[in-house]
Amino acid sequence: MRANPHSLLSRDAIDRRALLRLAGGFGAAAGAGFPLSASAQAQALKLGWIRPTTGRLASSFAPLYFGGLIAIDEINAAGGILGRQIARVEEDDEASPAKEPAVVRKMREQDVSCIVGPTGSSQSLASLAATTSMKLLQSTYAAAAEAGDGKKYPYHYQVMFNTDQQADVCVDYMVRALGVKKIGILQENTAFGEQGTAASKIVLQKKFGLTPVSEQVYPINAPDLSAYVANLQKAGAEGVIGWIANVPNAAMIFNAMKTLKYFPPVTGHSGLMLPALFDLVPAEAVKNVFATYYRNFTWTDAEQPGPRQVEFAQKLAKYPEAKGFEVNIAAAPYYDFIYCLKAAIEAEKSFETEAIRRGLDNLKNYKGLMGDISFTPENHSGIGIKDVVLVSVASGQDPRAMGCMRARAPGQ
Amino acid sequence: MGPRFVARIPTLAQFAFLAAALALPLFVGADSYALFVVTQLGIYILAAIGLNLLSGYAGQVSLGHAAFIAIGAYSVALLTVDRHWPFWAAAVVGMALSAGLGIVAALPSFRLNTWYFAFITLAFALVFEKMIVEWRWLTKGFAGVVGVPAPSLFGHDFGPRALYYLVAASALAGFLLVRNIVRSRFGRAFVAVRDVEPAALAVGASPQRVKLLAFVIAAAFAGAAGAFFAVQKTVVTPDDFTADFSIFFLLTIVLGGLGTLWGPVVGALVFFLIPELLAGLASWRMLIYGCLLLALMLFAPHGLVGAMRQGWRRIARRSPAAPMAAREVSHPPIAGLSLEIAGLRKRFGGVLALDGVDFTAPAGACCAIVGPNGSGKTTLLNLASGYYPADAGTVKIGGAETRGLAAQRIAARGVGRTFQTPRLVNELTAVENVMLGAYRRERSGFIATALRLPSARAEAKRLRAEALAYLAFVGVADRADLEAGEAPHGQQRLIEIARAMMGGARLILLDEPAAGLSMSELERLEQLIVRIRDLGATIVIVEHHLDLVANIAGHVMVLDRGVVLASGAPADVFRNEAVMRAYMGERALKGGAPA
Amino acid sequence: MDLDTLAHGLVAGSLYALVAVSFNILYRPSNVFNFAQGELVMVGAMTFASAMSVAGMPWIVAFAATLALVGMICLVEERIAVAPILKRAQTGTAWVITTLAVSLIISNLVGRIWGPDPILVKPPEPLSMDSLNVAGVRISSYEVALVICTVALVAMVERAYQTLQGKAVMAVAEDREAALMRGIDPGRLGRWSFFIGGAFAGMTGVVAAPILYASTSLGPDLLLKGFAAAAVGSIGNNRGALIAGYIIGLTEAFGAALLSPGYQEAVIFLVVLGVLLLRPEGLFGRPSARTV
Repeated sequence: MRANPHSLLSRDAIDRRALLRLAGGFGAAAGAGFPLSASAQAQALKLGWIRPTTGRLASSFAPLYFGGLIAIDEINAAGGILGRQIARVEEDDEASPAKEPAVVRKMREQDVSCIVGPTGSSQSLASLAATTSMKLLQSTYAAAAEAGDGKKYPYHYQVMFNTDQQADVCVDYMVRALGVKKIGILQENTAFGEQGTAASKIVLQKKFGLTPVSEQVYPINAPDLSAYVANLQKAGAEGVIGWIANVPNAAMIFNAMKTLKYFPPVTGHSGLMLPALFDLVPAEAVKNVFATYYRNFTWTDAEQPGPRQVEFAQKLAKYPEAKGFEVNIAAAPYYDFIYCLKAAIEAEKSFETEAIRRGLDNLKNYKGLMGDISFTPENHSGIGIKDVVLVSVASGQDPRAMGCMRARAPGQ
Repeated sequence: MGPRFVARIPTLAQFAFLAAALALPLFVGADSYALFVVTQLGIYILAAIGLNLLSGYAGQVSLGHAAFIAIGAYSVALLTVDRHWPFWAAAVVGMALSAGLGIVAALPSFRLNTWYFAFITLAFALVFEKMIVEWRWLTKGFAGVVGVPAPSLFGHDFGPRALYYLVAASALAGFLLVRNIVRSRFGRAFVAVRDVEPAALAVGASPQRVKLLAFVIAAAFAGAAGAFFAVQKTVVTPDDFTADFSIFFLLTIVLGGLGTLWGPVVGALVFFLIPELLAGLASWRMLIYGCLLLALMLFAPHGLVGAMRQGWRRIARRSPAAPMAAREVSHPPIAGLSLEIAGLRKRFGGVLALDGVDFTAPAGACCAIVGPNGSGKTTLLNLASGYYPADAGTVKIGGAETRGLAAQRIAARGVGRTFQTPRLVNELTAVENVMLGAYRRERSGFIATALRLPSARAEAKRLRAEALAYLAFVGVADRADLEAGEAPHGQQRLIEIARAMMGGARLILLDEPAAGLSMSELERLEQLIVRIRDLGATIVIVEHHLDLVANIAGHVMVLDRGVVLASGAPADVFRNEAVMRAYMGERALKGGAPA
Repeated sequence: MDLDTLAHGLVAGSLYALVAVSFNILYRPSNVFNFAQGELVMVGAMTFASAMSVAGMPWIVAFAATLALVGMICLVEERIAVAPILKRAQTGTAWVITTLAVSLIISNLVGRIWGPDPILVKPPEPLSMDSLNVAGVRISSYEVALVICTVALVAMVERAYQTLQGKAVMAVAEDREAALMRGIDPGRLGRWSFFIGGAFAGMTGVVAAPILYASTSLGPDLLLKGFAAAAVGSIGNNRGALIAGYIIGLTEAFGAALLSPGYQEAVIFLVVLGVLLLRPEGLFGRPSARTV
């Protein structure tokens, strides 16, 4: 069906990792974690890379790191950060929250002080529980609003829209632009789903005085989701807000809609922009599917995507494994985070964790790919609501899409 | 190297392992991955030790062990994170809840056979896995409970090293507790229930209570392991407790050696540690273990420890222990119990096995029941001792009605029995089999036994001496410390009789004790029965060997197709023509020679 | 009563009945309950999906190839994991662990061949999964065909046991020693039964694929529900398995409708546990006498 996830990105990871681990096993006595000294300046900067290469979510989550890879390639080609190249230290978390504590310890043992990943809100919150106490800088793919709380997670930076922002956009469009009042919510049983649903209900209630007609919560490993979709249909939901973040689930949901001949408008997370959708759902039904995305990657009749974004799309097109995942890769926080890191280090002229943190906290209106990124010590949710828009999923078949561009939803 | 040194190598290895485990944190960083992994290993060992008691010793194959660990882990995580309880109180709650679930889980094992039960537990593990995701209001769903605080004592938080020592100490304590239990009457009863349930019943051990005990212990161990799991990992998620995790535990103990003390330790070391050292193999791990499991079951059912032990025996052939002096033992008299049966009736499907049989064995008498195959003799014994329920009639033992009582209760009233094919616990030694007989007589409670309090130790010592005396009494003292399964058939019967006497039997039911014995063994058996009879015990013997019957029995009853054909003194009965015809056929009637 | 739920229950029940019958086929001569059966069904579904979508084989060819492959896997399982154990002890339960080991091996091997994503399988022409409205009940033509085929298949299997070979299987199940003396070769019957039982499991995977998606994680779920149907319907009894399959399917469907789809397994588990505690021999079996 699609490229085997095991072959992705593992170009140099396995052997080196095995060696490191062996070395770590034997030399564990020395591995108590000494901070990098100034004399190590010329050494490569180790960047932790928590990415699932096995497990049931690997096929959905593993490709999301291409943006980060592109950023590293660009920075290294341009001479690195303050003269130091970036080297990835990769660990597989199997996309399982249960694995995160061990993965963080492995990272720490390899003198990593800065981590990219994991992907998924539940995985991220589990990882954050360990990295926060160990004072490791991190950016995860976690849309849950909680992950952008700088007081709770002072070492974590959320370089992406969060569930509050997404809910606001999704609900608003559903009620105001589409005029739907009977709204059902379909969420995956993860931290992301929980917070997405909670935020949607608040927006529905506060802005429009509505309550959802049905809330369906499905486990991400359910073999079949038609029962949940059927429940939405039975409850009379005329529009569905979907907090769905992985490809197989989204495919199952749209397929269930097809067999049930039930095609309500759907708004939700960028995970809805799956490539297989066009085979599953009749064209007229896809017209009704809208997903949250970033303004910079969209076009309207009057506006075109920015030149940097077009350049990114062209680079991405060189990776055949990224095909079909372009939107989700562009929406991943990793590219922008690595550049934010570079900006912070260069501003502080230091690789010390606390200095980098200071640099990141002081970052104001940094021009990222996804939008303007700003942090304060309290607010680590970097993207502003103005950069979050809904896009038409059907526009993925438009020649202007270039993989990761989409047309803004009418009226956005 | 002297042979004495060689003999001590296994003990030394055990101490070396312990010393290495205790010294380890001094050589690795407190925040290191290595310490994280070995702490986890200690937790797995603790859980595996409990499961080994249940599945290895008591024979209840449980594929749902993850559920018990999950209950301990979630209790601690939720109570400490949400309710801010101290770790210790939360851990006690976790263990109690887990033990409670253990009681519930034990109930189906009373009714279902081993593999049905295994399946039910597997199904339970699968359902449980789904439920912890589904019950979001309790478990916080897929994301799990995050940020479990470390235990603290007197305001001092446990760091990773302290936690490691806490886990290691608990695992060691668990190991010692299980060792003590296994070597006590409880351990003997576990093995009896696992291998030969009739033997457990014969000594008055209730299989239900034995299983329940094993379940509660195993569940409490798992609950404790779960409590440590939560604080060690700091994150508790449904993904930690999948059905696969349950299967891993069973795998671990099978790998190490089911029903061996070191099995769970060795199994966990191999299972969880080796993949950490060979990172490249990690993704092949389950496949390798699947193959290993298959190979072990086929070629070394006792796992790595079993294989090591066998190899060791070959290297260090122990000089055989000096045979016990076969001293003559005098035995106090026994107050025999009478057996009165009236109108006993039993039907199996369409066959009427017993049709209104009356039989009386006065206290202190030796009575025999003879008859052709299928005449209902063994059925009579099984009804009298409670193995089958009777359809009608009365059974009075020592004057009290016992019909309807469970077999182990009848046994507890002083009824001992042997079986047509000897029902010894093959894996226990002869003397342990005899000690099993004293199951009901031992007074030491479970706690005293598990902690090896002086009172329990003294009692165990006394009983062992007594059991050796009984073995000497029946004449097989020289086999005391050999596995019962290795004894010749005839001697196994004698050990069974010793077991019955050890239990204080006052009415002894012998089911064809002479079958397959050599001439000299037959003679010894005859002498033995006479000796027991002369001590005052009531003996009821079912036997084909008419010479033996004629020599020892004062009264004979002949059964044929479920009805009493004749009854009386042996000399009179054997002259009865109807008996001759029924029992030996027409030819014998003409030839006249008893077979 | 909700007719849609009824239809859903009947469709799911048919699948469970088929899995249960595949259990029974191997159980009859060997008294072994194959813990790897769920994985065999899964291999059937995945092989078929690959043969159809990747290799582009015609439906019938892919179907035959799947049956042959899964039958062979099951035969190999019998040779290496079951026969040696039965040879050692006829009544032991070591096969619980060896068949579990096979299950582990299969489920990890398929992870090397196929990715974790479910594959959508289209039903054979002219059947389709699009729901039709038949007298107010939403059901697809494929689902109707599945229910009918299941009943027909169970009837066929039952007829097969009326033949001489089938009677020989029953004789072995009854008393292995006695059958041996009557010139029946239990080893040969065992091998055949495993092959046929495996092929039947493969076929179940094929017919289940359009409804459930072909996915490498199908195994445990089908193992659980197939066991539920087999145990409630009394192990070895195919008619019982059919009825129990529908009981389980309907219980699940109504449980999901009344509570939440997430409670399906829990409801089934409680039903099975309840039935087994009251009647350990199942609803359609005779209690067996205890022997000393």
